[in-house]
Amino acid sequence: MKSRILIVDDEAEIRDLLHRHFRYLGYDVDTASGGQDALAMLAQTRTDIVVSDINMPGMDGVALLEAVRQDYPMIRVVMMTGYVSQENILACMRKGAETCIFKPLEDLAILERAVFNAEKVTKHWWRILSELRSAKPDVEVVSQA
Amino acid sequence: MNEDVSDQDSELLDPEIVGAFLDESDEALEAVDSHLIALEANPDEHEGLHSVFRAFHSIKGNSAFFGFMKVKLLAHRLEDVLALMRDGKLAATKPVMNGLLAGVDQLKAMLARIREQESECAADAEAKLAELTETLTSLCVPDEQQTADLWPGVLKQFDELISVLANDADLGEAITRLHGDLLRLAPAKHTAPTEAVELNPAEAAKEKLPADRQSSVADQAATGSSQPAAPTQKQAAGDAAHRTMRVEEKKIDEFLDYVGELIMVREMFANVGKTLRAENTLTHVSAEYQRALEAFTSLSLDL
Repeated sequence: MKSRILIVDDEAEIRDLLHRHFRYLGYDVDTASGGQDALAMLAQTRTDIVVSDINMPGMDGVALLEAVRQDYPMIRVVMMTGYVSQENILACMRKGAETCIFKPLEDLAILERAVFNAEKVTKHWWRILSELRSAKPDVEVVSQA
Repeated sequence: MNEDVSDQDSELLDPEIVGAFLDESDEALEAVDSHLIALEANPDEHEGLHSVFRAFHSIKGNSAFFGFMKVKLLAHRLEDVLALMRDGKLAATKPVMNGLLAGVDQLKAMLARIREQESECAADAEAKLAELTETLTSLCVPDEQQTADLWPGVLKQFDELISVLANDADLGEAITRLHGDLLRLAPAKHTAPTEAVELNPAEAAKEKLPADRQSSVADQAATGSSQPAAPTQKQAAGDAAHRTMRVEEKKIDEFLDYVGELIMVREMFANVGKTLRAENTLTHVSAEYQRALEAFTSLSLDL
């Protein structure tokens, strides 16, 4: 099962780097250059994980995070920032990001692990949903008994 | 893009899980239908609004999870309309109810297609879907054109009102002031709706009523002037317990005519009020208006 990731960064280099990297790891990958662009993509395509930079012109990553929580509450969001401030980190926590990764992304393994963990949460819920099927008849049996 | 989605469908989406989602969404929409029908029969019955809102809200969130982006968009628009209704900012008028019912029918049709493993919306029905979401969006925005159409009618009725009241200087002046306020309000509506709407009619109504009373006070001071007899009579009625007063028969006739005219004016006010409420774009104005009308009515009845 392939998860679909949307990479959001205003720097084309980073977008390309992450696009190639996660495709290589077997994910379906889309990219967007800013918050608005990302929301337009999300409205078109089913997405599991958003990986977004915080500092971007126009709609920034925190505003995007907020919009995603509001409109696509089941999408997991991993934030990245080169501008490390406590306020940024607290905003990410407050608004329900999975985690926040610091740039520069010298070691992509950290980001990889963050995405993997986010994916694990979604897979966990899929498993619960499929267990529902086998759980349901039991409930009926109990209620009949 | 569509190929991508169907790719994912086969790899990711367990048909049984999707089936359960469709079953529960259908069930929720059935309940929505009955709530909306109840609301259509009785627009003041707001009890079901919350459950209708919740149904749209969860269909919106869940459908995105399963990749049904068009269902999500439509449910989102429906949710927006419901949010306004729930907050009392949008009344259950006919266009609103028609939009909601059409939206629910469309949602059901899309879910049925998904169940048949077809795309959410047939290619030739895309335009109709776009039109529907557009209609729902426009319900959430006060229609500028509708408002613009409304004003000439309101102002015309006020002109008539002024001519009817021309023989009472004070009341006439108060109404002229109200008319002036409305004129100022008309263009302001397009630039700064809420503040202008909240402030001016309130002021206007306040101004009008004291002016009305002032006229009776003035009359009391100048008995026998050429003013119509109405306020004099009012004062007379109020003080009847203390003293009596001779009034010419002709004055009584004039007074009764005046009351007749007042009743007509009240009808005109009621008409303006009905128009305002029907257009539904000026909730504050119509509320203020309703209060002014009630004050006017009770004053007329007192006469």
